Amino acid sequence: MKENVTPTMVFILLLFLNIRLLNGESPPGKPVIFKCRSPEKETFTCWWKPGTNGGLPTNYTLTYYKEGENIIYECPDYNTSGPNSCYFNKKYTSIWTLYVIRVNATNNMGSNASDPRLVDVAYIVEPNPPQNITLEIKRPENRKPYLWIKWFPPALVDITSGWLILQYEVRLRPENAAEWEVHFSGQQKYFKILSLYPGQKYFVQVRCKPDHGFWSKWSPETSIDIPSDFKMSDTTVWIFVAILFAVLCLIMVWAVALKSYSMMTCIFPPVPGPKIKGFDTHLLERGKTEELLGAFGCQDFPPTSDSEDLLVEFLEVDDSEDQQLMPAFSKEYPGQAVKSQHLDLDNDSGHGSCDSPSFLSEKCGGPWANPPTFHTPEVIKKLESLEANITCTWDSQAKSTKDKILYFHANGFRSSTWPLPQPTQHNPRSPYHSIAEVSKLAKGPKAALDTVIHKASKDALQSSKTTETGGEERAMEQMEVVRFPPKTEQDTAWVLPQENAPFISAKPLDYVEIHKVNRDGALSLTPKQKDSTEQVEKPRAPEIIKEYAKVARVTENNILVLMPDPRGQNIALFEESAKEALLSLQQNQAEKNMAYFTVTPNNFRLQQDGLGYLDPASFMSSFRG
Amino acid sequence: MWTAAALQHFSKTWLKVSGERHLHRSLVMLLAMWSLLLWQDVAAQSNSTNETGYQISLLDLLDRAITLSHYIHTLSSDLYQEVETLHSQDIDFFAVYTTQCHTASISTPANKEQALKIQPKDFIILVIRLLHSWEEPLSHLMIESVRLPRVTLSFIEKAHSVQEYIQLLLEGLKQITRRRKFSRSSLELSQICSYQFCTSPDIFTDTKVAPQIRNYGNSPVWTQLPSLQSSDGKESLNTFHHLCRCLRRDTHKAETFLRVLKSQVARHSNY
Repeated sequence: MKENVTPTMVFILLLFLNIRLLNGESPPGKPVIFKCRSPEKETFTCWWKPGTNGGLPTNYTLTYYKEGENIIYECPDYNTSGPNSCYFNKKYTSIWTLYVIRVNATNNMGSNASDPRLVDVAYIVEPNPPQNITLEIKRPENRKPYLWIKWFPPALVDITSGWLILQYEVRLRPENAAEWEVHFSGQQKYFKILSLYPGQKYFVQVRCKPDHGFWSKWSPETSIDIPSDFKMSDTTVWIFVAILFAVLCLIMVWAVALKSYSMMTCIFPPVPGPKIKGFDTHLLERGKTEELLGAFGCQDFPPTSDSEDLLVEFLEVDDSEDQQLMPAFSKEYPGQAVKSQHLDLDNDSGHGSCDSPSFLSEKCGGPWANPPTFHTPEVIKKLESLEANITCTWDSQAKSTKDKILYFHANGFRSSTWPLPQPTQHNPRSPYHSIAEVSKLAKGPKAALDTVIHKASKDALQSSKTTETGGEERAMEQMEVVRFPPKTEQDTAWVLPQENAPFISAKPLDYVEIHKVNRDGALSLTPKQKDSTEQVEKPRAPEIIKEYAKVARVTENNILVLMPDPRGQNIALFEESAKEALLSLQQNQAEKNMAYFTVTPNNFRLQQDGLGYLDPASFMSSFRG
Repeated sequence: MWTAAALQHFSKTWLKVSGERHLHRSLVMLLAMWSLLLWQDVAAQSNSTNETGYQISLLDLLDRAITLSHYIHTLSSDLYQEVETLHSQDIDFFAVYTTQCHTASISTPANKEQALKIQPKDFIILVIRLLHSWEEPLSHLMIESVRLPRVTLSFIEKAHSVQEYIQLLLEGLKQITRRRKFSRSSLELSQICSYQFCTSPDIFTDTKVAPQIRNYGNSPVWTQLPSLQSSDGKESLNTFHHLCRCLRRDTHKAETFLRVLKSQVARHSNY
């Protein structure tokens, strides 16, 4: 029986329900609480969205309980915030307390409850928009006009007690623009806008946000008309300045382009390279050494065997010492095996390797060429007394293969010092050979000495610059490099015969050192042989020489004979040129400290082949001068 | 008052550029170190009773404290957000949300009216107690955070930062209590005797036996360590979540209280 009853009951129930449903009635749909907000962190409101009402009048109730309490409360106020809302006033609001809120929808058919919503009032703060926005164009004197925007915080928020802190944002746009220009204003309640287009209408809005909360809605638009005389003068001035500047730049660039070369030479004057008058540098490029050296007036270069005798005769360069050249040199002169070590560097005298008072001898000459022939101490004393400034450093640089070119470095320097480059400072590289003797150079045309002013003279220059001397000038000008092809057959007193080969292989530089300068300022090259320590004449007054000259030989008058002519005809000329070189080398002892070996090309008689040889004539005149 | 302007600028920057955590952190690290140095300097100079020589003004100190607390709360919010988004499905709602925080024993004002009734010197104590009660849990939080599933490095870094900054803030608040205005606070602080806060000898130079004990409740005891360290992942996660939630709330309280305190002090300039 029962079994018969149950299905019947079910059937009846279903029928009943269906009848009800057919009438369109059903329990309400599930409401959803979609928003809870607090405008000032003191009250809050929750809004819900009802579900379907099932065709019957549905009642919504909101219930909640607070964290830590077991009491279920009902919404105290359903009306203040509008339909489907619940307003919790101050009395019912606890900050930092979790509310668990639900909404129940009830109708005759049934009820439905929403999901619980967790609310902590501290985190749902969304204030109202700021109010009383005022716009004003302000025109201070002597300053640009601007738009001044001012507003007040929303009515309910309590800022003064610090309970809530608000930050503001302003946005504006011209009437016909679509994009808003947004500015963050922080906690200040005003804002200045400087860049505005005159003659337009602007809309302004402001909104605010608590320090941990949501942004408010934008305030209603406030508009203002910008007067037409709202000057953007700054812009026009800047545009004008920019155009002017651009034009000036263009002009300058154009001028520079036109005169680039001359300007570059003006700003960066070309470093005078070693020039020998009459010397065709193109020969270097072509690489024909014979022609090249022929241009120097060196016959039979590379030196032939018969010239070796001559070389040996006049200059003995000590191999062993030569080999010490580099290392000695590298010890920066003080380490040179110079006899007299007393050539100390005066700190302030820019001593070079073969420096000052000793006319190259000690430092330069010692290790290399003719130590035995050095009378360095005497020389030194003499020199010191003389304050000769001649530094003839003969640097010989071996040319490509077996060329040995002596570089005669004459450098004028201070009176008391040889203007040799300071050993400590710069240039250990350039070994100096002391020319043991510049005696008999005039063996033949082949005897040609190249004196090349060594780059070390530059060092001397630098060192001179670095040394402090009260009022003395340091003229380091001359880096006179007179090249002497190391012709062995020449009876030139120059160092570096082939004996220096080993040295040369190490570093292809042969130097001839000026042994000393005597009272007259004669340049005495110290050749290897013992026979002469001839003094060379005094150097001339300082002049800047940028020429190379070959010293053919040294005459008995201690005249340096330069040989500009490749044919070697100018031994005599060499002599003169040597003289002149010496003269120029040896400076006015008494007067200044600038002594330098100056070979003025224009004076040289021998200026012939345009290879830049020293013109002996100039020497002559200088010697006589 | 350039410091106030600087701090204001800082706070503006932070709030504006909410996404640049690194910028914030570096700025606030700078600020924190600067504050610490300054606070130490102030400590060196000031005597709690005699204020001689140049001193940072009280409002400046409060500004710094507010800035620091603001940043601490921002970091805590980030921590909470991260935990919630990663694990909201895994947690036990009731365990997390209906269990009370361990700091509930510190009775704090629940609305503005109650807050405005509190004296500044009591506010200071309140904030100090609140923050102090978080020192121990935070250290464990940081240690155990590596066990969180899907934990990120930024989470661990932020937790570490929060711990550091809370200590800095406590230093600053101690300095504030040495001011004459808060002279009574230091007496009451001596009642807060737990953990390392009271063990530093230099803090309470003029502590005496407390004459009164204000009704701020007993010192909170944190009992969740076992559940935090439990091998049950779910329980550990729930505890984590709960801790983060409470931390966020308490740091928000601290910031709000400090702001109210500052405006009270500013308003009563002769206070």
